Amino acid sequence: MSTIPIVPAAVAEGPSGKNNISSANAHPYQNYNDTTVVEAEDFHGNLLQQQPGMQHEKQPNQLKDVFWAILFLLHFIPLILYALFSSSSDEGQNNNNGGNSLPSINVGPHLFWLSVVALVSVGLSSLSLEGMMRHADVLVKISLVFSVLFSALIAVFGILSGNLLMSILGAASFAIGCCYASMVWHRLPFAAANLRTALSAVRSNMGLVVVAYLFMVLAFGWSLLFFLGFGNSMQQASYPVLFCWLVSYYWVHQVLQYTVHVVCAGK
Amino acid sequence: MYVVCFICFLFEFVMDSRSHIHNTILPCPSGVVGTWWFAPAEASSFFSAALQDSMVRATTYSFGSICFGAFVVALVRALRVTLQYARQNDDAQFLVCILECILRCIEDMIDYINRWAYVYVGLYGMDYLTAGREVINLFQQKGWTVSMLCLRHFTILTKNGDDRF
Repeated sequence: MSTIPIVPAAVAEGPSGKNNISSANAHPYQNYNDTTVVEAEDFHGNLLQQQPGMQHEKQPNQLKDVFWAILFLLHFIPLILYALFSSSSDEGQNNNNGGNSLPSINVGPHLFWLSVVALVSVGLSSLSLEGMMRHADVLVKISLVFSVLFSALIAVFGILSGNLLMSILGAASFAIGCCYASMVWHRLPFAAANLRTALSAVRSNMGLVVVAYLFMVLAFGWSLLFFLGFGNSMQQASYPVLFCWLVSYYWVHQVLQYTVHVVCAGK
Repeated sequence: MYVVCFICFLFEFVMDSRSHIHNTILPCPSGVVGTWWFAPAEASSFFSAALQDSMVRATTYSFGSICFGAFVVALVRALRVTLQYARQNDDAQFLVCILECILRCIEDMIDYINRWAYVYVGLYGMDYLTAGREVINLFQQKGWTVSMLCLRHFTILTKNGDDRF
């Protein structure tokens, strides 16, 4: 039996069964006068009685899945070589054709819109982060109610517009949403307490936000490099090659995304 | 064709950038909180020791595991996007639509399990396959209800645009 250390329900909900984590920034232990003993099992199944200040499990200093790391780094080599050879062969072909170059793509507008979209997404993300920090518990409830009401609105809109399929799907979604909401409503305080705890941790480690933005800039840079550097090569690539390019594009994005995830999860 | 591809990637980028921020917030109940909970002193500053240590581990010891899981998702996603382009043709639209739907489900499922698996990778420094097995064990022992509650919770919070959870 192996479990990750968990927050016992008694701690999350408070001694009286209600959530009594009063301050959003406070460490949960502070609300229990630093006397709380958390019982949990470590990864090897040993029962732990952990108190504030106890160290987390020590990780082995050993490289894992080395093959995939090497493969990831090596996959850039054929990518760059193909782009280089492709562009040089294009130049040779153009020279043979008396200097008639391939129709060039005006990337200016695309670049502009890409920058606008990136800035808007950064702004939206910051706003949603701030919103979640300020109104965590209310947001959970509102979101659940809103999703149910939205299904009802779709059903009503379907009836009014005479679209039978839309109204049936909306009504079914509304019914399922109602059942789900009634089933999980009593668990919302637990979910809200979890979210509040998480946000308290983020507030205590604001460097996480910087790391997230840093990796977002890297992802943006990769997208730019991909299209500006390899765009012309992609135009003439066959479908198998195009598929490999796609895999490469998504692979790098996923690696960046999961790296942020592991940084957040790690110790 | 090129412009369509570009717009699709633009859209994907917005989704990705949104999930980068959400990734920072959502896995925290089981992530940095782990350190913050058990050793608050190590994780209570802007660039805390826990964050630096975690950053080094993610880019060195656990980088292979990250690449492994990312490759699986990237492969399925590339297949799905290829099928999306195939829908521009008129041939076998229904079949392509079903295949795309199946791939989408597989992609979401792998992505969802990956997010849990990478918590194990981050917390315990496991390799990807072991972490995946532990996630399945966790779900079997603690019940799928818990995971579905979290899934629903995350879905609600990321409903406005980010459909990755």
